[in-house]
Amino acid sequence: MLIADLDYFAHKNNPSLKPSAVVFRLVLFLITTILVLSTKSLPLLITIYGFLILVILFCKVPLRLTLFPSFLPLVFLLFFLLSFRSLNILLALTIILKALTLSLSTLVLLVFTSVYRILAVLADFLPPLLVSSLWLTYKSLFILNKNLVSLLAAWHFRGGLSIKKPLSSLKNLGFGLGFLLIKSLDMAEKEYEALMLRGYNGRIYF
Amino acid sequence: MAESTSERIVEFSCIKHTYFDKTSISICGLHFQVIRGTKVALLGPNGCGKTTLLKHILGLIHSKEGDIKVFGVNPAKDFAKIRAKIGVVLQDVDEQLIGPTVFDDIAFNLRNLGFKEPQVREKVNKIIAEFNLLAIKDKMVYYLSGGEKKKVAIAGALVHEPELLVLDEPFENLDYLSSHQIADYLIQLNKKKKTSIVFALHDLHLLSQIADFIYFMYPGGKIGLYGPAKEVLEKVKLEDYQLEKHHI
Repeated sequence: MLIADLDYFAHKNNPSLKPSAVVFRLVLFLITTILVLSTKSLPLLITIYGFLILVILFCKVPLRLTLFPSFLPLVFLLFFLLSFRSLNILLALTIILKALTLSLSTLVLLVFTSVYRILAVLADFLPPLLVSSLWLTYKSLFILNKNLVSLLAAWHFRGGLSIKKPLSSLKNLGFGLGFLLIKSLDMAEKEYEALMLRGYNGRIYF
Repeated sequence: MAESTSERIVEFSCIKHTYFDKTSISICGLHFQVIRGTKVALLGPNGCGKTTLLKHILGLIHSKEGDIKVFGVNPAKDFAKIRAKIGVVLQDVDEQLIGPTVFDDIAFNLRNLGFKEPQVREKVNKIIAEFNLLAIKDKMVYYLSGGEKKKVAIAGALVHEPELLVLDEPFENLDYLSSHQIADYLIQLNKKKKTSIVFALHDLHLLSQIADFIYFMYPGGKIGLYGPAKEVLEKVKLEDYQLEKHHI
């Protein structure tokens, strides 16, 4: 799971990041986002995108964590662009570059700053309940990821998925997804029980 | 007879719970009680209702029939009143660890109970040292191994010095040394502070070391035997219930 890999990379390389550094990064991210959203200038977008790529290359961040996943929004964007009857090439390029720059800047932020550090800073500004919800959701992704890895291993060893048997593979895939859905519901229930037993008072301390 | 005059902190006679899939578990038979300062083990084959019983004690499930009293209140209704007196470690610790780092997770109960930050730091650092968790103190909980997570969960349950500890398979995933260290810690804690412990355990070697009394549960939830640990372990035909007798 990409989010787990990003978090691990961020935590491993910056285990004791100071809050001031996190604030600086968040401000930089915010400025970039506002600039990208508000500008119509293609050269400016190219400059920001180029700068982000330079940062990635200079800091030797794995491309599989940043550049490659940043292309993911393109899939949806292409559908969006295809829905236009007549589209100016320049406008299309601007929209594409806006999406790519925003997704890349988010990934660059996450690859250098663990979500835990970001939430620790945001906890001072946002309502505690919102921060708790964000943290518990984020933490649950790691538990689900662990289950997904076990499921994939079980499929691998027990031959649950095979191109030669598409129908039975599809059936097994359905079982797997169903298992993950039930697991996540069960997990939510257990997390609630744990919060209740441990006296959760509406705030998680960072 | 000395027991009957001592303070009973947990007690019930017969409780019934029906799960959403209509599976019904009646925990009946002998009267169940935990006397203050004792270490009580639940023993029985898989699916006999040990975890269900522990969940009843914690008020996580409501009994359809029968009443359970923990510190004199029904935990399913008034758990908030007795929360500070209870420390819990459930089977799946993944969901139980809430704090972002090991330190924050252990401090979670204390902060919720309203302890001041210097007190929190002192208590958490003390238990971290006792459990040999110093090396992972600032590590994020989801990067810990299964055994480390269990140790953190146990430390988190003990840090506020509860009067009653409820442990469901506390030594699962722990290596031999860690299991024995924590077992020793629990025995000492019980001796020094009279902390009562109710636990479900499959490791009969550890069970015979820790438990003062054992309740043996038969499939279907019947509490069939109760007595001093050694006596119960001698009486019950453990091999009939897939429990490993050779561990004793």
